[in-house]
Amino acid sequence: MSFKNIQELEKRLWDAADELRANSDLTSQEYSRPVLGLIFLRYAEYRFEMAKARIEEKQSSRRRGGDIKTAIQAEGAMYVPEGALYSKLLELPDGADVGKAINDAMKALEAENEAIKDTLPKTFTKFDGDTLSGLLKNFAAIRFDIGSDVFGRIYEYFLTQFARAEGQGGGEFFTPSPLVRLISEIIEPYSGKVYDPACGSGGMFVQSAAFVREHNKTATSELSIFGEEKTGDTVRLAKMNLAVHGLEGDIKNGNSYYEDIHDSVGKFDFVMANPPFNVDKIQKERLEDSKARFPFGMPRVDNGNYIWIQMFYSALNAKGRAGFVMANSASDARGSEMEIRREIIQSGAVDVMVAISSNFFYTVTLPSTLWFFDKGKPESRKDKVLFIDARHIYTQVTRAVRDYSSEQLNFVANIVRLYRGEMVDDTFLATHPDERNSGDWSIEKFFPDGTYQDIAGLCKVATTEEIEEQGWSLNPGRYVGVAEGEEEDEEEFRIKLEELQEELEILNGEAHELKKIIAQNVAEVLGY
Amino acid sequence: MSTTLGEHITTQKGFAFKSKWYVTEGQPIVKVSDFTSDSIDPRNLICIPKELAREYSKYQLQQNDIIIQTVGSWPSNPASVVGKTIRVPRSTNGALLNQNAVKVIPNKTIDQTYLFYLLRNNDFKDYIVGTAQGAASQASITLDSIRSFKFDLPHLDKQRKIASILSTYDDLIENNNRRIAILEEMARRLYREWFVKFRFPGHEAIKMVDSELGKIPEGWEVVKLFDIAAPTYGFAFKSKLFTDDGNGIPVVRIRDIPKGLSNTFTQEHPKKEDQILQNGDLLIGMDGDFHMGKWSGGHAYLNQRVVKITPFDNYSKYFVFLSFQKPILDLNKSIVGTTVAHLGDKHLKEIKIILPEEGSRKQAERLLDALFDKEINLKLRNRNLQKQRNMLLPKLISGKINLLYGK
Repeated sequence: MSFKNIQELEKRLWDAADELRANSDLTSQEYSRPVLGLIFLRYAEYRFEMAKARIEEKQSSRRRGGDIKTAIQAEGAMYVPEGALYSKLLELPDGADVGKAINDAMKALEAENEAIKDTLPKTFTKFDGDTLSGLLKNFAAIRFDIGSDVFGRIYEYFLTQFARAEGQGGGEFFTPSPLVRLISEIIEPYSGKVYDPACGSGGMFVQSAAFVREHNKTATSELSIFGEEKTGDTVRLAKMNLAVHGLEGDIKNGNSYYEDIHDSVGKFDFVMANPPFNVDKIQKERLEDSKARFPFGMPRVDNGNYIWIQMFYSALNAKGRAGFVMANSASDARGSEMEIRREIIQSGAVDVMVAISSNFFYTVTLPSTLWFFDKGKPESRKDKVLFIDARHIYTQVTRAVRDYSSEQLNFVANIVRLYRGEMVDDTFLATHPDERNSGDWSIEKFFPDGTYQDIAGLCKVATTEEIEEQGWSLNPGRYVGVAEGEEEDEEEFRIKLEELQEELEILNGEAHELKKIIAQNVAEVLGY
Repeated sequence: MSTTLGEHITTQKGFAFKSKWYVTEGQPIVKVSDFTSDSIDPRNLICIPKELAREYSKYQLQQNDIIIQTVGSWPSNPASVVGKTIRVPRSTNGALLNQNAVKVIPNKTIDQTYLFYLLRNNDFKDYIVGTAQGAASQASITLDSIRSFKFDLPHLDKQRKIASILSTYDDLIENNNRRIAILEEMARRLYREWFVKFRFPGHEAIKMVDSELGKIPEGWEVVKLFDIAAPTYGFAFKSKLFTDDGNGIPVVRIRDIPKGLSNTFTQEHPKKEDQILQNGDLLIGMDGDFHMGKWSGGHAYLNQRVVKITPFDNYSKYFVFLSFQKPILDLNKSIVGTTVAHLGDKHLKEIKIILPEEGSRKQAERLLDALFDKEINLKLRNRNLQKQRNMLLPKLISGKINLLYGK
């Protein structure tokens, strides 16, 4: 497969779809769900045809018959009835009601497939016929032969582009796939139950499944997926996302603060999440009694970070691992938040902390920290935490966006493996050819003996005592030190400035939302 | 449907906390003198001991509580006018309410946020001032007159819709204010790190040398403020021509510096072109607290005892502003007037600052200029948002705009 071909295809499809939007009066939000729905429909037919071909091959020597629907579903595809075939929509005569025809197709597909019930968009009559025909033709151009999971990638690409176009409110940021992927490389979800109580459109699950697949296992048989998401519309996106990637999962609509739908305590092998940052106005009095979910009590400040962190911690079973994205300020937070952090550190569950550069999120520049818990740490690492300062590891994509080359991502994950005394694993590098790889980030260069060692400015193993000396900080910058040419005492200034920037970015996000609401209200007042 | 306020609220008067109980640490007390135009300034609250405070828990305030000032000035002094309605901000959650103010608690029939905007509307203000009694210096209103206010109350859905439209403006204004504060803090910290603590990029390689202001990096110099900026002193406008009716051009007096906005107008013209202000001009008040500020109130005239500091071409505004901030604060401490302190040209002339080598300065100025522009931009947006909200408030409360609510 050619990485470049898919990239070009993604961009071409997006540009065409975006131009169609520009010529309609639809907002990005009104447009995004139906477009993702069409990609989904196209994919359903593709999987269906493939499954049918395989069944026919098997049955050619034998008697035909039996329940075709069951057979198709056994092949991991959806059963697509006549009325839901994408190819039929392409053949609609001029003047046909395209919107209605697509709505009907969506309904027909849902009727045959329980997993996507009430998931697909049915608002196509809002579009004009030309736009719809244009979109149908556009997605018909997706070629199947350029690689595995082409649809999954295109779906995710569109999801990302829409997230960028729509912007996001408050501390909610669409998780960029390099970070999701790095989390899965570090917690290594080979098999078991995976949980994300802030699952959004399901990106964490898709990447953990990719991890399993690249290690030559079948994701559907190795992983059970459990998610919770507060926005109903996003739950539907997540279900479609899983289906597009051939995954099954249990995604429920609910507010994870107050409703523990999956009865999470002590249940999961893996927790992966990117919760909203610095959420305020959580009704803590409703949570105080859930001692099992929040074993270290409520933070006194009006900030949800340590509520989420405890949720992740308590959802793990005795051997469970968690990896999640956090606002930087949580690593150094004082007062009651520090007390909670101290208890978690003393429990021995904190495994690895990775400081991430700014500009990884699409809509904000703020840097972040990845936290990793491991409740099944061996005795030898029980009172130790590995700190990695990866703030200087990134590849500039555009002026505003940074990414990892596959070599860089592979490198960071392998530092953790060396620390754990595991073998270096280059599967990710091998399965993700990347023209930006230069050999600068090879593990041999930094760790010539093939064993872990502290490297100033990059990584450092600290004991619980050392962490206590730093006021229970989990900020990698405090431990890793600085490479030559920088100075230690600048760290305070950096930390404070970063905190300010983090708060500013979140306020920017909120302001963006408020501006939209005001514009809508004014339009209403003026009677537009 | 016309109704009276008393049917929809209960009230809780503040308590006359005794001044002999006052301490600096403990449970904060909110006095009417802590009220701003629509909120509470949390910075200078006096306290009583926590043990004592427990006996007075019924006077405790919560975020979003609505308070009416019952004793204050007549409308000629709008800052502390009687009948003013404010809302408790998060920062004073838990504080106790002092006398001369009353907490208004909504029943189930009226939405709390709607009630706030109802009481902020001019109909209520005009009504309540009309009922006020007292001497020339002090006016007071009664709970009875508050309860007797007559108005039309829409049903709850509509109340909530109106409240949500108006509070979106206040939410965004609050968000912008917080962002302005963050930008200011970022600028201050950057300046301090680089130019006070001398930890600028590349400082490791630079030798420290002696100067009249202590050790400074080699290649830096000590200069006078007026080597990098020029002063413009204000014009002596006739105060008897000042009006607050919006006719003429705003005049900027010392008291207008912190807000960056003036509501005093004159028809008079200043003598010099330079005495006309534009957004982003740097100002220092020459009496009292020596306020310093960045002007954001648009086209306006500079009054006497206010000086405008204009950086020379090569220097950025924010750099100059941060450079004179500490010297002015020091002067404020050292100059003691008979009743108020006076800052003179002779003091300003003597202000010395450390001028960084050009490379470091330019690098900082790029960052600072962006912060400065963003700050001013946010302040201008807030003015716009306030105007929109003030235009909508009476129309929405009076029902003059019909909304397609509940769609």
